[in-house]
Amino acid sequence: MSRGTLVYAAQRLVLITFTAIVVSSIVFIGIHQLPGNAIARERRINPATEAALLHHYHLDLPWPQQYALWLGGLVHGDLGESLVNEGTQITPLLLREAKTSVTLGLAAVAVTIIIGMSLGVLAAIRQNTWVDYVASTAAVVGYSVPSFVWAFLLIILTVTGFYAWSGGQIYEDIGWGKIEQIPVPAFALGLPYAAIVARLTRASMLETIRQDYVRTAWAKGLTARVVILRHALRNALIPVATILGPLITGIITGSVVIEFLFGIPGLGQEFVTSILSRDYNIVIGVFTFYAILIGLANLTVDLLYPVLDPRIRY
Amino acid sequence: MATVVPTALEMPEELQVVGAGEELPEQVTLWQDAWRRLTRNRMAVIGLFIIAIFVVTALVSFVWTPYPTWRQALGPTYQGPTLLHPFGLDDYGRDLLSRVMGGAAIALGVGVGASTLASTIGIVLGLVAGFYRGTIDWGISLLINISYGVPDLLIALILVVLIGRGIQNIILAISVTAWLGMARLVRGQTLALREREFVEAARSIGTKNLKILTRHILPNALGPIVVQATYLVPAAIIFEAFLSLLGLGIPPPAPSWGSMASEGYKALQIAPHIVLVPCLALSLTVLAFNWVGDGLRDAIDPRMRR
Amino acid sequence: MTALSILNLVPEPGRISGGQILFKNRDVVSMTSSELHEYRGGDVAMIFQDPMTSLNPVLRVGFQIEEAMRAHSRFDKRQAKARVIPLLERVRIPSPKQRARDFPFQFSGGMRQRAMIAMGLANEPSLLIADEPTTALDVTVQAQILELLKELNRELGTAIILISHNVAVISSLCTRVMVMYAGRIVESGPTRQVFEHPEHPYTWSLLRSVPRVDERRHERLISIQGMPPDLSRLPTGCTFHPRCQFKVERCLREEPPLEEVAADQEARCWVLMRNVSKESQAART
Repeated sequence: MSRGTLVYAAQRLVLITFTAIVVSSIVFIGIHQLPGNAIARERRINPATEAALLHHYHLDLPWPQQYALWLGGLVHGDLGESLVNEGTQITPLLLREAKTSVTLGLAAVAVTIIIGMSLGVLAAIRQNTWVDYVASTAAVVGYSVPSFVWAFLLIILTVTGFYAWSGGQIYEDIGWGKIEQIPVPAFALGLPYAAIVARLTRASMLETIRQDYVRTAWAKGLTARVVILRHALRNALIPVATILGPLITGIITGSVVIEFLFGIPGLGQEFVTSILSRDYNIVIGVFTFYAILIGLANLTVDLLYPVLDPRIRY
Repeated sequence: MATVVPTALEMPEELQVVGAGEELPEQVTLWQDAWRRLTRNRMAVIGLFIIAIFVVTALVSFVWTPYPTWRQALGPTYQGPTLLHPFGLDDYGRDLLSRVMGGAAIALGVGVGASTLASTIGIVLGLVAGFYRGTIDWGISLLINISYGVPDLLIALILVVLIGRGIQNIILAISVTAWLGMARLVRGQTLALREREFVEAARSIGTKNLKILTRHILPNALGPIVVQATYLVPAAIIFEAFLSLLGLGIPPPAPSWGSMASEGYKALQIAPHIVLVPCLALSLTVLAFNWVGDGLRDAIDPRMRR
Repeated sequence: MTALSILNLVPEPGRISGGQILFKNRDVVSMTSSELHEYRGGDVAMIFQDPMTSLNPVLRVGFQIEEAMRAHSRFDKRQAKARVIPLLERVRIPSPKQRARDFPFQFSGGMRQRAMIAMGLANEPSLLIADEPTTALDVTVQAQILELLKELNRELGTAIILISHNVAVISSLCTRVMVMYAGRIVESGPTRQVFEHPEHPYTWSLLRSVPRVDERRHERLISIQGMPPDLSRLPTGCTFHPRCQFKVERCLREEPPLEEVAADQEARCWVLMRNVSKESQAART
């Protein structure tokens, strides 16, 4: 990693912090402009307790003062306390959940890239054969089937299917905590995007395998494997990498639904429960975490460019 | 009951109007040419056909469904497909065929409604940002950049909690983020087109800005806009299903495909048909729109064709 | 295309439909896949027309040369690595140690072609095919590359097939020439002899279409009438007849065979330029 790259990464980290603060501030201010307050809306409690609670959460102060207090906490990494479960600190809670979400997300990205690229390369090198037609059709169908439909199909296939197939010997429930529970949600989340990657890889490979340098590689007497992987695919990856950013945002969005369906204790599920119970402090916290995660993911992708294409320098 | 969406269900007809070029007399040949190429694309024609079936189904569902979509206890709950109920019954003993028909109206209403609303906002603001530059452009570009850092589903979820779950609110909640993509596209097109010679020529003979925008820039950017608007429909349909699955979509007993899948999920292992029927309908609709979108893209820009 | 056939690298949907390609008495078309990989780049190396696009943009130049050796068994891993810098030096790339670590985009056109040549020579092949190696380069660089090829041929004994449209390049570099028209050999022989006494009208016209600075000449420059033929719909008889100024009736019906017309010189023509009087030659120019 060159010095220029390090400077670039440092600048981006500052920018990510700034974006996270701006995003959470917008959400904070937006929510605090609402009439009424979070405590009074849902629960019927006696006025004295309510006043004590409001005071505890500083909700009795005018919003600019609340904002100043909250911002002060944010700078120290403190996102405050849950409005519903009194005494629960948000930062450690979300850190734990972020770890779960990142694990799921990385598994899904792995599924996307491995399946997408293999299908794309296969379709390209067997262009206009049945392999190509099957892979290309699978790709269009694949991205038209949303992640939750894949989830249902995979649950039927694995949970019900394996149970019936093994005569009741294997019964693996959906959920989280065991390593063998990762693949099903990861595939559900990754397959629609794998289809997009496959389409792009195919188009990009068809472009590169016609290039002069690939002909040079053949003329050098390299084996088909080396020519296709090291020479054609290496160059085909450059345009494919440009969609990794939007793809990661898409996977994070999809993970909200998948975590909810599978009961995975990640940020997405936390967000849904919190918004339903109007625990706005957690809602704001999750926004902050997502802004940071998306920022870091995009930074990783941008740092990948110069590795893939030496002509790009920061 | 589902709220009736008045004009939103005319997407395919709308496409045909554009294809016939009635509003754009000076471009008749270009659009007719694109239409001819579209109808020669096998996948696009199949897609249009599937969409037509769903549109007819949705329209029929307003006046007739085999059973009322909300009537419960029509037979044993979780019953699989029978002659009387070809798609089976759900966990309340409601007829799935009737419900999936009603769901088509909701899905197409939300999809076309959100696509229309988001496209309108996006086109107007994109044109303004790209043409006048200045503060508006700065503001819109900033919004677009910030929106990259936030999953749009979360914003829609907050909005739905705040403004309620009616079909208009769902459309609004989806459009609030969906317009940004269209604005980005139109802004980019406008930035490129405003430097072109014919815009220069129009300006030199004293054409008013508004007329330059509507007569010269918009018609030339219309191709990519139509493609993007087509892709927005399936995206909005999936988005609505996401909201329903999370329990924040159009409230029951409206037969939204997402809510149907969500209700059936509890019984996935004993009665998978409850989940599979709406999922199949949804995937088929999305697939059809994607095929038409791909076909339109290739038809409008032949250079993109492989 | 002929050159690509020699390496059995004809792109889809093309095929080698007939004839034999013999290299040291082995038929290239019937080689097994592993034989073919050893033969390509090992026995016969090729350098291409456009050095700007012929090197892989994302791999270091040194690695691309090393890779050519690693694909063959002539040198082991350590030798391959050690040979990269001497090879670059051999093709006169300045400060080869640093340059080996550069990417192609950091090289100029001439340097890229030198790197291509180094890559071709890496396995000490017995034959080097240079497909218009200088057309994409400017004239001074052209001269340097040709000088380099000449020198390598002299010192390493590598045979070179040079494919070119450039008569001057051919006459300065080649000992033997084969003139091809529409995919067929129409004339062949020692370069000097063929260029001084061309027997095929195509060769004759080609030579009269280029200006020369080293000779006093009184003939006018001519251009060949018409367009090169569509290779999928070749004309009947002699493929050159629609553009030939000396054709006779037989040329339209029958394709002439490649026949010896002088010592060591062959031509594919019913007429032959020696049978055309000087007056009538002059009249057609």
